[in-house]
Order: sequence, then structure tokens, then C-alpha cells
Amino acid sequence: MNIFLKVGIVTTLVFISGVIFGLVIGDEKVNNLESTISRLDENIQNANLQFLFFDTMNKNVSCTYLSKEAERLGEQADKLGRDVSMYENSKKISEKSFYDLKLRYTSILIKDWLMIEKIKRTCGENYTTVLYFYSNTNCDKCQEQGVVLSYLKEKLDGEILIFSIDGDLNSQIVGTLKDAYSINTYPSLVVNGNVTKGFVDLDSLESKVCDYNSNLSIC
Amino acid sequence: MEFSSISLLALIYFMLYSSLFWLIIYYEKKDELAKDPKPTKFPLVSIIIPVYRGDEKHTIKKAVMSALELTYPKKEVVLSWNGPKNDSYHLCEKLAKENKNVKMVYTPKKGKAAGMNEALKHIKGELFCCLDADSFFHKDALESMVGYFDDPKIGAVTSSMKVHNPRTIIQKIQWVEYIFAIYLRKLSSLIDCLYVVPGPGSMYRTEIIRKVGGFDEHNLTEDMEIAFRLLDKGYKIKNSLNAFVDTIAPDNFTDLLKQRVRWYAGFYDNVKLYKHMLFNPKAGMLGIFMMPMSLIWIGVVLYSLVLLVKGTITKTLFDIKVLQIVGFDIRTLIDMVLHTFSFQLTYMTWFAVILTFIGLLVIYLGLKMSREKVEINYKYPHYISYLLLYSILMGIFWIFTIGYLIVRKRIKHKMW
Repeated sequence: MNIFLKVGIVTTLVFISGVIFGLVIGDEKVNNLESTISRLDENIQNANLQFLFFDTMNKNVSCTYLSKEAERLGEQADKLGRDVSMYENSKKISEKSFYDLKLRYTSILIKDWLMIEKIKRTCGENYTTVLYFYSNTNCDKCQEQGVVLSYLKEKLDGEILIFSIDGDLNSQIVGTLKDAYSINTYPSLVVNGNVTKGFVDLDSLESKVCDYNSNLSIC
Repeated sequence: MEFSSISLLALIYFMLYSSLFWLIIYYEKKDELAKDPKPTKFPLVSIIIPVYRGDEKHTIKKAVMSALELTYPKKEVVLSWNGPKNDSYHLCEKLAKENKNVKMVYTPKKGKAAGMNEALKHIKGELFCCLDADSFFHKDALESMVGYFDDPKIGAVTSSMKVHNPRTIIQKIQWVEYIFAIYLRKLSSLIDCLYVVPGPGSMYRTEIIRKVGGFDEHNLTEDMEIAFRLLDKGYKIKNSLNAFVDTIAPDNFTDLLKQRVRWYAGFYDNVKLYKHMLFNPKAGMLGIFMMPMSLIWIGVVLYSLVLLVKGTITKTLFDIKVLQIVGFDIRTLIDMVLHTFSFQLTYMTWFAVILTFIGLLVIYLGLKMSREKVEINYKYPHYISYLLLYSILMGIFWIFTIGYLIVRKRIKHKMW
């Protein structure tokens, strides 16, 4: 057989093995993310059920239990966010499946945020929540804003909960949130329900966060 | 998919193709590797040692002695001085006086090719060897080469070169490189696409070299030009795996850079000179495979370097920005450094593993072919540094070569 053809066949086989490896790894990651999403979803539903139960039976809400639940939800959302961004950085193939995943992830994230807001209100807990609207296509300062937020999150270790929402996503609930807070530029932050448009540097963000909650360790 | 992903995949496909090509040739022709044709006669071999630089002073005597101590029965040694005389000239004169088998010839013209051509006028050997003055024959080197010349179409036979006594890291990387070259040279010889007849230790048929007009005195790499000319005129070049020659490799980066810019610019000149052979089926595997492959490799090496530099700059700029945003913070800095080495399992991981495996396998086969011990403990770091650094070095050499070619062109324009 012609040597060029022979090498071509062997090379193509090796090449295909690499692509298959990539797809398998990609699938594995998507599966992992999906199971994390499902677990989070389940926990949110559980918390909701608790509320419903206390509400229907006219019992006093067990706030100790719920705040623990809120913390757990926050941690899970955080981990999920990290997994998603890791996947986003490494994705090379199968972008379509990633988009679907991101839609699901975002709606769970919003549910999570709502749950925490509800717990906050019902139990008078002092969590600081930040909704962070970003765009991957049309935002110069989003990368920097992301850096500021993750730095602050690390510094405050659990005292602050950040929910990053891709404003470019074609999803109804994202649209509703954007309308509700009249988000039309990126980055935009909603800190404990108060909207700030444009980039916020570390110092301003710290003082802003302290304005709403002076019990934080940095204030 | 974006352009960058596609071009990266194309790059990987090409790297896989070219490395698997040689591996398949290796396993198909495994039995022929170390086999040299048995000589039916032992003609006189003239060993020409061109000398011209002062810095070879310390090695000339050793080179001459290695030629005299060859076990091959019929030989003469010719020291060919070219260019202005200096201290070493008198050393050569002394060597010629002391040994009756050593002759000395002289030409005022500068350059190794001029020296070779001058010697060609005086030698009596039916065959002749070139031995650079910083290179040394292994005792039995000639016997395995002579047999090839029974085929009248053979114009030259190359040897297996090793780096003599590597000390610096630069020399150690070249030591591995030369092992790899031994592997590649033999395999190229088996499919008839050798296009360099290296200075240290190659053998030529005197009649043919005289007939084609001797060495090109205006070529940067006359040992490549003569190879292209021989192949162009229908002669063949073979390699003997069993003919070992040691050579002293540059011991620092600057000298290596100078050497490589000369080699690479010489490659460019000769491809231009013999461009009619490119893609020409008449030039055999050289025209349809080796020349195009070598040219594509330049692109591959440069593109990889661009990707590496671009990646490093982007990451560094981003890290600087982060430090500016959060204020200098030691924990962030440590995170960044750790993040540089963090790694994501993707299809790239698979290809990196395969290419590294092929790289190590080729070094292993090269070591076996060069009859070197596979020393995991002692030489392992060189294997790794070769695999990691070599393509980066090649990229740097090519950038300097392109710079050199541009400057040379400008100077030529001015002169006209």
C-alpha cells in the first residue's frame, strides 16, 4: 500500500481517538454539571416545600433550619458557578449542549437567589446578595468586574452570596429580571435589591456592601 | 468552531502525521537499518580536513589522529588550509611534517568549500571523506561506508554524528537532537530523501564530485548544496548507521544561534536554488515529501511559538490587571501562579500525551540506533528538556534567520 495513504489512515485513527476522548470527557463534564444542577434544584424544592408546610399548617417557621438551608444553597450555587465557568473555559466542542445547560443553570441560580431572599425576609437574616449581570459579547469591563467580585467573595468567605447572570441569554426569566431592575448596560450589580450600573471598583463595592450591612467583617 | 480551534487541530494532525510517518517507515524497514552493503574492494580513501579558524587549534591534532588511527587499510590525510595564515597554520605544517601519511595543501581563498576544492585537485583517493577539524572518527567508521559505493549511482554516504562530550545544557540538548537526527537521517536515507551531507565524516566519490564541479564556494551551507546538486543530477545519497563520528557542538546559546541561522538561511537559499525539485515527482520522495514537509515545519514551529508567546502575554497582562484591581495581594499572586499550572482535561490532553509518548519513543529508538545506553536516571532531564525546549529554540532560530535574510537582501540592494 502507498506509504502516504497508510500513514494517513493511522494518523486519522489516532486523531479520531483524540476527538472521541474529547467528546467523552465533554459528556462526562456535562453529566457532572447536570447532576449538580439537579441536586441544587432538589434542595431548592425542599426548602420551598418547608415553607409551604409551615405556611399551610400555620406553624412558626423554623428559621434555624432555613438559614442553614440558605447557606447550603449558597455554597452549592457557588460551586456550580465555578464548574460552569471552568467548563466554559475549556469547551472546544459541542457548544450547543453547553448553551442548554447554561439556560438551566441560570434559571436554577435565579430560583436559588429568590429562595435566599425569601428566607432573608421571613427570618430577618442579614445575608448580602449580589446579582451580577454580565455579557460575554458586549462589555469591556465585565472581566474586571468579575475579578473584583470573586476577590470580595473570597475575602468575605460566605458572608456574601454572588449570583452571576449572563444577560445575553435568551431566557424569559432573565428578561424579566432585566426589566424589573431596568438593566440595559453591563456590568450591572444588584446589591440587596439596589441597582448600580457600570463598573464598580473594589473600594466602592466594599463601602456599598457595608452601607447595606454593617455587620460584615470588612466594615 | 473558531479559526483558532481549527488551526490548532490542523497543527496537531500535521504533527501526528509527520511523526507517525517516520515511525511507520522505521517498523517497516527495521531489518535494513543497521545493514550496510559488504564492500567488494577497499579503494584508497582521502580524508580531507579543511582548516581555517584559530579556534580549532585545540582539536586539529585530535581530528588528524582520529583519521590516522582509522582501521581502514588504504587512506591518506590531507589538511587543507584556506584563508589567511595564523598560529594554527604552523601547527598543521608541523603535523604534516611529522606524519608521512599527512599532506598539506593551501589556498588563500576563504571558506570551507574553497578548501575542499583545493584539496580535490591534489587527492589520489577514488573516494574521499570530509572531516571538520572539530570532529573525530570512531576507529571503524570507514569500513561500513565504503560498500555503498559498489553501486555506481551513489555520490555520497553520510555518517552517524554524535555530540562529543556534552557539558553545558545547550550541548546536552544538542546531544539528544543529534540522536534524533541519527534516527531521521537513516530513515530518510532508506526512502532516498537525504538532502544534507554533513561536514563531519561524510564520504564522497571523487570522480562524481569533480564531474559536477566541486563544492559551491558562495553557498552558506555547501554541504547541503552539494547534496541537492547530486540528487538533481540523478545520483544517490545514503547513510551508514554504523559509521560514527563525534563532533564538538556549540556550548553556548549565541554560538548555537549563529550556527543555526547559517544552516537555516542556507536551507532557504538552497530550496530557492533547487525550487524546480519542489513538488516534482522526478525528484522522488525529496520533491514530493521531504522538501514540502520541511517547509511546512517552519510554519508549524513559528505558529506554535506565536501561540505560546500570545498565550503568555495575555495571561501576564490579565494577571497584572487583576493585581491592579485588587491591589497587590500575596494570596492572589500565589493563586495566579498555581493557576498557571492548573490543568483541564480536554482532547488536547490526549494529543499531548500521544505526542509526548511518540517523542519519547523516538528518542528511545534513536538511542538504540546510536548504540547508546538508555539512561533514565542520568540523561532523563535532557530528553525532557529537548522535548520541551527544542521547538521553541527552532522558532527563535527561524525568527533570527528571517531577520538575517531581510537584512541581507537590503544590503544587496544597496550594493547594486
